Amino acid sequence: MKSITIKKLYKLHSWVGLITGILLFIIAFSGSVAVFEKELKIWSNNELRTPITLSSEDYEKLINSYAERVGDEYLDEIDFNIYRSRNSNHIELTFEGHFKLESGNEEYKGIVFELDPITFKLLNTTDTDTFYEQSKYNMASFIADFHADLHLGRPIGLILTGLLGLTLMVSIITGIFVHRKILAQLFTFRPMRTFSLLLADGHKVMSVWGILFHSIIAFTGAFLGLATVVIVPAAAYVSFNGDQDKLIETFTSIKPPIISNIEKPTQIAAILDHSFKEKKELNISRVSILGYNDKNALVYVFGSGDDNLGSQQLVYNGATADFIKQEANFGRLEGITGDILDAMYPLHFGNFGGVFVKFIWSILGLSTALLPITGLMLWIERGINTVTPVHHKNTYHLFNRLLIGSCGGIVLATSILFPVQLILNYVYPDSIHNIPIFGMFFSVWLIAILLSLFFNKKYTLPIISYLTILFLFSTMPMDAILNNSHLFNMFETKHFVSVGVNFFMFVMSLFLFFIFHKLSKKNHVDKKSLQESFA
Amino acid sequence: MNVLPLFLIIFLCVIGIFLLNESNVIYKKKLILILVFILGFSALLWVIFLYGALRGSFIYLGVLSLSGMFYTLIRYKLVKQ
Repeated sequence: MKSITIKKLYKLHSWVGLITGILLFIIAFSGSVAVFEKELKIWSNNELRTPITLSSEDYEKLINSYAERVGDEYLDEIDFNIYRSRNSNHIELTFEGHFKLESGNEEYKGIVFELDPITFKLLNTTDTDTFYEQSKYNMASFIADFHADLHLGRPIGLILTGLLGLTLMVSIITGIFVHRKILAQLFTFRPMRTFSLLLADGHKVMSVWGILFHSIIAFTGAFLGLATVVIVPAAAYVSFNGDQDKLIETFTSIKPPIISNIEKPTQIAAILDHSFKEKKELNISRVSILGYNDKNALVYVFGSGDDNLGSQQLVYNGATADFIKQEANFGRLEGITGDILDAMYPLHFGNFGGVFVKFIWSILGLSTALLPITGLMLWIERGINTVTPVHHKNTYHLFNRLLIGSCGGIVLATSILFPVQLILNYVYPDSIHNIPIFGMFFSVWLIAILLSLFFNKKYTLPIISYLTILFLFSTMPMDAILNNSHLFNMFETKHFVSVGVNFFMFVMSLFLFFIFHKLSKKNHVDKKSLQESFA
Repeated sequence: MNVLPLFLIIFLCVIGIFLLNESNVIYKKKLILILVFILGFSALLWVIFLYGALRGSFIYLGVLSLSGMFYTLIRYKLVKQ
């Protein structure tokens, strides 16, 4: 390739990194935390910490009793969550029906009952619109949603994160052409020479070794961000005259049965027993009944975690409890298209092989986050040290401060959510925590940015780092004091997941302390080199 | 979840990566290059056996990326010794 083309690609690589680098770090860092959404959700909800298993008969009794209560018009579709999957801290029963309006159109209405999982006491009754509109955030769902749309709302947030996936793909492709000696640099890492070499080698090592992972994350991220707001409407416009509902109905595999109007009780308990016993490897999370108590009723049991990459659904004949088939969400699509679409979500979040795979995905996600940072720091470092910089030196210094504030700030803001969640659970156990979680996260992030912009990095970087370490370190003792949940009574309380999270935070804080302490020490030894790098 | 086999798979990958690096085999020693491929391939087969073809391939990809990254990042310490 001509050197002039390489130079152009290098410029494109630099500019894309400069424009999107900080945002990419924010998305990738929050993503590497969001990988553990389920574990953090259990940790955040005291009710979910102890595993509770309800029997199949319990579910059948509850459904039958509430079905009588709502009346026939709300029995077109019944949905309920399987509590042992620990996706919600209540049992949620949803009864939906479609009603004909005077205009001739149909309207869907639904009622949601929230029950206590131990006493089965009714806690709350709402309509489906209100239920799905109200977002009850804990720190886990807050971080997961922040990763998805930066809490900018949809579609703007989704489009932004989708576009960031595309720009990451551009960076990867241009990076391959710019750094052509990929294999020769496969094992090159020289941290002890200069700061510039440390950054350059680190950038190359993380990008070369993780190139396939970064590409997967970029592609799936772009798809997940843009699918609902760009791809689906565009596909519907081309093939379904703009009817998005029809497109979704065609491609997804839940089909309503033809109602026979012959009454036959739906065998909920038998179906659940079969799915729990025969599909043990599947983590069943939700059940849908279409045509309840009709001869042609169909029951869909949803779960994930077996040999398949994506989530699966088991289809049963409701009246006879006969197992019909198992298929993926896009199982109706012929060829490889369905498999690819089903693989998007698990490949992005690494939730297809247990906690071990989640760890791998999370660490590699951190390397994706560090790529733009090392690239930006390299740009700043070169700009400051060169005799004839492209921009004014103050520009590089200002960018450096912004980088520390925004990227360090997001790490600090995430870490403070751990003690904040524990305090909120203790002080306001029954309240919605949205405002304090939003307020604390964004105010801490803003303060970190302002501190970095107005004060010297010599002070702000240690403050941000040590506060992050302190918040992570405090999680385990705070949980022990406030909730009496710790390593020593773990077998009694069965809080394995939450104690695991606490322990991980504790180890992480020690590791970060060690790293930061070492870097500070190196800073003293190699002061001259660093002083040239940063003011 | 089989943690021990996964650690062994990582170990196989690391040995492969180590040989790949130490012998500069990409350009010179074909025999060791073949050994590296055998190690890597057996790790891939193992993870496919544990998790199935599709899931196993992606897990292997992650394990290989992580092993290579960590090995390269800590290599300077080994070289110093």
